[in-house]
Amino acid sequence: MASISVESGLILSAVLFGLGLIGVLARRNILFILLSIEIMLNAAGLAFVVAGSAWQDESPTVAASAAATEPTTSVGGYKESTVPQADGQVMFFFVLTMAAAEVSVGLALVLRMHSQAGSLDADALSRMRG
Amino acid sequence: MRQLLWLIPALPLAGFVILALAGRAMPRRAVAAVAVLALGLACALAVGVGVEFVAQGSATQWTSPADGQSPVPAYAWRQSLWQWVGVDGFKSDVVLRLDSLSLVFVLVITFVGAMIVLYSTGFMWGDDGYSRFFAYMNLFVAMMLTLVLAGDLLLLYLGWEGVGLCSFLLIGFWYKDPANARAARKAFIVTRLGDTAFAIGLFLLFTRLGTLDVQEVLSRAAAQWPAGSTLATAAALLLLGGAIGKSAQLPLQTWLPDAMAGPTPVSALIHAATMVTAGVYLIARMHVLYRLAPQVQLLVGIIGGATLVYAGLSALTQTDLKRALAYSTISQIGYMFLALGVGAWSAGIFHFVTHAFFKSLLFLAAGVIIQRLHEEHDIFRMGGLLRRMPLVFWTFLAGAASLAALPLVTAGYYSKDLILSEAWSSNKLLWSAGVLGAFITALYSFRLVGVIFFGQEKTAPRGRTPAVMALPLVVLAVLAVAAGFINVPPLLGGWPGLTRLLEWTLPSAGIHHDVAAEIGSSLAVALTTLAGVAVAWLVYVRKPAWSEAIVRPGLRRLVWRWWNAGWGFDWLYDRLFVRPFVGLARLNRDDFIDSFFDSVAWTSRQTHRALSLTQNGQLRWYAMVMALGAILALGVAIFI
Repeated sequence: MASISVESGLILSAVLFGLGLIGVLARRNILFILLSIEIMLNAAGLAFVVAGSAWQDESPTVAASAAATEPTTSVGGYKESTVPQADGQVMFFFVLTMAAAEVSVGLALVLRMHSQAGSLDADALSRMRG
Repeated sequence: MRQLLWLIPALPLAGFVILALAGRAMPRRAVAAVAVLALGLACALAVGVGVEFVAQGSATQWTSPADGQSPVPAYAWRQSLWQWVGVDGFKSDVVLRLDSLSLVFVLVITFVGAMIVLYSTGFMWGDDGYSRFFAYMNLFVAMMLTLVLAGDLLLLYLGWEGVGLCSFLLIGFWYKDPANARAARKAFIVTRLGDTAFAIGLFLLFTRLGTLDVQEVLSRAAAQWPAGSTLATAAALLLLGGAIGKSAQLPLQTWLPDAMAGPTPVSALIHAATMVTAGVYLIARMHVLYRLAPQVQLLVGIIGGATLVYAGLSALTQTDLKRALAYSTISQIGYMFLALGVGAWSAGIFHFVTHAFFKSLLFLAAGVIIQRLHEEHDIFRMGGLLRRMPLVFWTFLAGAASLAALPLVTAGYYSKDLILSEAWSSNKLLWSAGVLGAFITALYSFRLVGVIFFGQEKTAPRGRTPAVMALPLVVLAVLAVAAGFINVPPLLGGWPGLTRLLEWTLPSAGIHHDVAAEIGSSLAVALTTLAGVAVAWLVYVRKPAWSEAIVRPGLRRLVWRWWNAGWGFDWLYDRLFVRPFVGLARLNRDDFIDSFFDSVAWTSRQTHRALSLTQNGQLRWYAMVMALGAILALGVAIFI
């Protein structure tokens, strides 16, 4: 399996994030803004996954070395530190569930907005200006 | 009776309280009844008190203090009511003090006040502010009585300011006309100038003598200050400042002609009979101080002499009936000042008494004329009223004759003659001013009579004079003629009762009796008066064309207009004081100290505006700012 370098993964993630951000800032239709937010979330999720696969063996070692310096107070859990961890991938699941929840709330708000303002233009909702 | 002294000022005060609290809900007849009763009872009480006072006093002393220098006089009733102020080193009581000087004032004030209020019940009948008017009038009388009965200078000052306030309220009684309100403000501010001097004089007396009780002040001043000392002079000068403000003497006289904006009974009571003579009362009350400062006393006489000629000439040129009478009042008070200045103390007070009668009579008669001629003030649009208003004519004639001091038959003659015969032996220059004034007085008073009652009828009078207004006219007319008989000089075979009474309190002036000079002075006064009457008769009744010839264009007309405008004092004061002050006020309209606080407010308002610009309600703008902020924060975290 050809391994993908961490850098290219993170660059892809940053590009995705930038595209999403530009979408959020530039689009006026609320649906496209929501879509762009999904892209940004996924960019973040991608970054988690890349980081998780790259450093899956290392992060506990940091903790183990910290524990080695002070064995008396070390926590026993870190003894199995050599087993590969999937922290990044787990975080991605959190991001997915959070995104699903956010989209459901967001779509509900879009429906309300359509019935209240009669438009999906985000700029039309500017009544709370100072 | 002695214990009832406090009731004299308290009765009008009670009348004021009733009318002020319930007057609006009361029917007009009830308002009139309360006002007249309060003053009538006060007057009756004053007469009772006066009779007992004189009876008891004459038992102890019918003679004057031997040298006239004695500052602790004679016979007086004292009634201490309560302690007003009592702090460390300063004590002031509400104490009433009745001596012969204040008795004369009390009698005149209550009697003339009652008459004028009776008259006003008819005069003001159609006015909306009926109860307000009588409330003010009663308050005025209460304050005036406080002033003359006060045994303490602080209480006297209370009355002094109280009458000033009532004067202000009543001049501006018809406050809906801005001109009236302006006249009221002018009167208040100009008299305030004098009052400030008076207040400083009181401070001086208190700090130097340690008391404000009138008798104590006088006896301590006589004991501590030598004659002619600086302190006595300063104190006398400061009190004189108050007196000339209140009594409308030069140079603070400008307010009185304008004060005629008030209802006519107000002019009669406040601006002729009583309040404006408060200055005379003050100087007579503090006579010891003026004897200690002879220069100031001379100044009093000079002010009086100058004022009486000045105001007489102005009265001569007025066409507004009430203004003519106002200048005449200034002129007659000038006579009183002249009398005080030459040391003819009781003669000055005598002139106050007769003046109160005849001048209030003239004002009340003028009120009837003006009201029945549809508010016509210009005497040259009256004329020929002799047949239409015989009662008003005869009463006005009695007042004018008394004002002109027609010899032997009028009260005004006896008082003016007494003043001038005592001035003769003291200061020839002031005497000649007084005689010149007598001529002018006769001229202008019979000018009024001639122009108003003779000649052609120009405006037809309406209605009739109600009985309540006619009665005071008749009573005052009788007094204007007969009041002089209480003080007939011994030279004419009479007995000077009033002078003897006043000499219980005031120093006697008649030590040097030069009979020949007295006769000469009397003859001179009588002849100039008759000459004045004759000239007035000739010019204004027999040959009316002459009176028009006088004001033909040219120098004479210029002088005429100059006198008519009160010798330009208003113009001068306007340029000298009013305009610079108004200019300064305008310059500093936006109070420059405020500009600092204004700038603080301005800055925060501008900041608020700038910040609220960012809250534009645009969702994408907010997102943008958040993104920029995040980038900034990251940049700071990474690179710094």
